Amino acid sequence: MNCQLCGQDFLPSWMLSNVWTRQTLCPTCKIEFVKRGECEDCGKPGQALCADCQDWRDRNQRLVTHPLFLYQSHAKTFMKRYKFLGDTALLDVFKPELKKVKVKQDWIVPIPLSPDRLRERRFNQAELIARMMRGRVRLVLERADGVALSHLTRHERLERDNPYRVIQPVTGKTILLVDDVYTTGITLHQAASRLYEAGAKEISAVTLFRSV
Amino acid sequence: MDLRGRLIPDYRLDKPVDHPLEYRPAVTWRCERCGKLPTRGPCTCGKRCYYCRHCLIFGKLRTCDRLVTDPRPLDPVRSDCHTELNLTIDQQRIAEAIVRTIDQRKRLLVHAVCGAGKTPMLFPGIERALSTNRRVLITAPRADVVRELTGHLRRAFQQATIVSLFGGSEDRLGLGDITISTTHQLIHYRTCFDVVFIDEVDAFPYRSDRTLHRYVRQATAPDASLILLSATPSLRDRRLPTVRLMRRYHGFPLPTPRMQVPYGKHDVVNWVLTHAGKPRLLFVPQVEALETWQTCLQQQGITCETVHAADPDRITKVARFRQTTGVLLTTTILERGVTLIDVQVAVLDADQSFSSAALIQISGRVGRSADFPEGDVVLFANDRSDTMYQAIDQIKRANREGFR
Repeated sequence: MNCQLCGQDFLPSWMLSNVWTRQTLCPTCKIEFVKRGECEDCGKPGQALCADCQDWRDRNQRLVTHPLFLYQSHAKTFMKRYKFLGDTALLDVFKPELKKVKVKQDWIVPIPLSPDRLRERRFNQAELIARMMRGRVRLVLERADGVALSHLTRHERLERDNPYRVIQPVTGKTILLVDDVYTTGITLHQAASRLYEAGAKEISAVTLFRSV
Repeated sequence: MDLRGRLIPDYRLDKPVDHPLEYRPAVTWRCERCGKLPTRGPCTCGKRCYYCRHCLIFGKLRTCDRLVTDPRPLDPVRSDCHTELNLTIDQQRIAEAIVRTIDQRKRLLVHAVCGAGKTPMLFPGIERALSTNRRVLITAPRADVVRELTGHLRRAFQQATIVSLFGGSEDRLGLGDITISTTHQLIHYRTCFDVVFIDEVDAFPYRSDRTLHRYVRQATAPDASLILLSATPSLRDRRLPTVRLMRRYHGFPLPTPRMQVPYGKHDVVNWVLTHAGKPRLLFVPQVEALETWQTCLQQQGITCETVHAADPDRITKVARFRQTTGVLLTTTILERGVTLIDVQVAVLDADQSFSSAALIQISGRVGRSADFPEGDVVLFANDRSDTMYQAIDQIKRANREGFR
């Protein structure tokens, strides 16, 4: 069997549970994905509550985010292939982990792409992640055109005004936001604030990676 | 943008063109660009499109994309004469065989030993091809080999347009009278080359990946003549009509490797010290072994550098090594395509993971220049493997055949 990520040939382990779960990653690639860290709000390794999250709490904008893995080494290779080259079938690698996420919320809401970006990339990476989880996916957010976040510094990101808009009534719903990578958290916080404004009851978030 | 003989995805087409273009579906039951089976993945065209994972780095191709080409015929080739050559009698024999194959539009394998001077033997063939209005392609597995060949050919052929293609070269999607290319770049070309030279057919990417042969086949015209060049052809390639050249251009025999079984660290250190004042190459089987040997040699007061395939500054390190008389520890990446003057070679753990072809290529690094035609090749091993015996035997047989 070939590893989906590095293409190397490997022998899948012969355990009974592996009969029904397909092994897609070779053991060497698998251990490269490190689980989330200590911070209880964003999963950053180091402290029990990182400085950024303390800052959000002080401003009374707490958003509990559960990243699955840390964004380093192989996670970066994965994102390069998945998001930028467009290898959408590669997401199967995280299928078991995403299925295991317990969704108690009413709706799963992926972070939207701007129409221009969607036309160029032809898929929304967050939506695909959301659709892989067990829960009801609703596309209640919309995004106005803007500059891609990855070109901006942290300060610029925080300064920018909110590009999101709620297009369906969300009053009284509990919502799980889904994104691919959590870097500063500004995207998720902006989306969450718009959803709270529209009357959502409780919001938390799940991301695939937490950058360190 | 000239698209004749080329096939690119339609989203790469930046400017509108005034002449009619031919559109084809990008992915049918197979990928129309690389020929592999596609995978299914989500897409916003409303359906789950099929897309090709194997040629993803050249831009994603989906079922809802199209490939575009220009159906008009290509420009005629400008004929050109090469500069004066002085070939040995043996080289002339091979060059004549190549010219004959090109005239008859057939296939040929040139089995010539390392350092036989393969490049100048191609020139009469290229000249004949250009004079009979046929487009020439020379393809090599590695970008550094392509760069070196381009330099050679630019000096030999002044009139013809020469295009060199590799990842990151400036004339992307160009098509010259003579095109020199890495095999991966040929994925964008369709039926436009009439004479194809494949250098080092048994080298690393070809050996493991049959799709590269498909790229070459798709890029060539139906009645193209195909000339394969190799020092260690595989059995599969040996089925072709073959000409053999078992003698180096300077007329000296190939250096025969000697075995040292078993060996210890002090043997290696002694070997390095006896050849002080000359550049020394040490081949190791794995990347992990580089560091252990480096520390081992440094304890003895010998400074050395290491090179492996994933090394970011490997080109600068090799270039620096060319000027000095130091010690370089390397994996098999330097096994072909490098010419170092008066180099001495040792293979550490030669019984492990070196194929006999690799050992032959490694011993072919030694004595390539006419000024220093001899050198020392040692295979250090703790066990005698078949591959070592095969390599030594084949080198000896080549020498016997060349000096009969």
